[in-house]
Amino acid sequence: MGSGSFATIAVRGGTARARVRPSRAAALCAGHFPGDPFVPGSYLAALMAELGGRLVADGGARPRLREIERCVFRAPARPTGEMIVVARRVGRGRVDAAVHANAACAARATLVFGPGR
Amino acid sequence: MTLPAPAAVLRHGPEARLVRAIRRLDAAGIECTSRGRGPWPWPRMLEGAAQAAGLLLGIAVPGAPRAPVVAEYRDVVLHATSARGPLRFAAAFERRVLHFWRCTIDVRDGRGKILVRGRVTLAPPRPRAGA
Repeated sequence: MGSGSFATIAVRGGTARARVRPSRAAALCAGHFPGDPFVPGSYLAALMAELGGRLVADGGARPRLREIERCVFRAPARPTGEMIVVARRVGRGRVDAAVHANAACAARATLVFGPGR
Repeated sequence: MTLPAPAAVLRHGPEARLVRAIRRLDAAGIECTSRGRGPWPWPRMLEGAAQAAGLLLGIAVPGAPRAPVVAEYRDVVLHATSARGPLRFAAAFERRVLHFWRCTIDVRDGRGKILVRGRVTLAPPRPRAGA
């Protein structure tokens, strides 16, 4: 069962794994760059935040991303092939996440969430 | 000094280019106006700031790549998760480490209120496989 950017989402305890909808990945690459498409870094961070937020939701309240402590981009996340996002809750409001694309780790991040308004 | 149009420096296609014009470029850094009035979810704000940093390196930092890519975001604080209206994207060169260039970045609304603040590290673009 998918939602938002994801075709499928699986949550087990404090971890989550999701597959990005191919149409979503393609849309995020629009214009970035002509003839050499890959997802911009901030949108990779957004995918990780979208999944990670599910792990820190408290009592149904939608959490708000407060900080990107660090987000490192290791390889281009191209819209061809499968794109997988994984996330793991590592503390109160804190998530480690990664995006895997084209059989490589494209990005890793540590994200901090707080209560939504 | 005649400031170039961002479209002449950035690799982005028109759908992805978020900076409209360079408002200021001096020793303190760069400030750019946004293209359009939003809406601006935080990923778009962050991307706009990164584009400003890329322009700064491409135009004004000696030895820096002309069309760098984002290698890292660090210490990014979201004071707002979305905004509307025209924005200002600013960047200042902080330091170079090997082949990486780090800049501070911030995004402000039309009244000067901080929306996003942090650091971005830029690197030379990778050669495309098979190129």
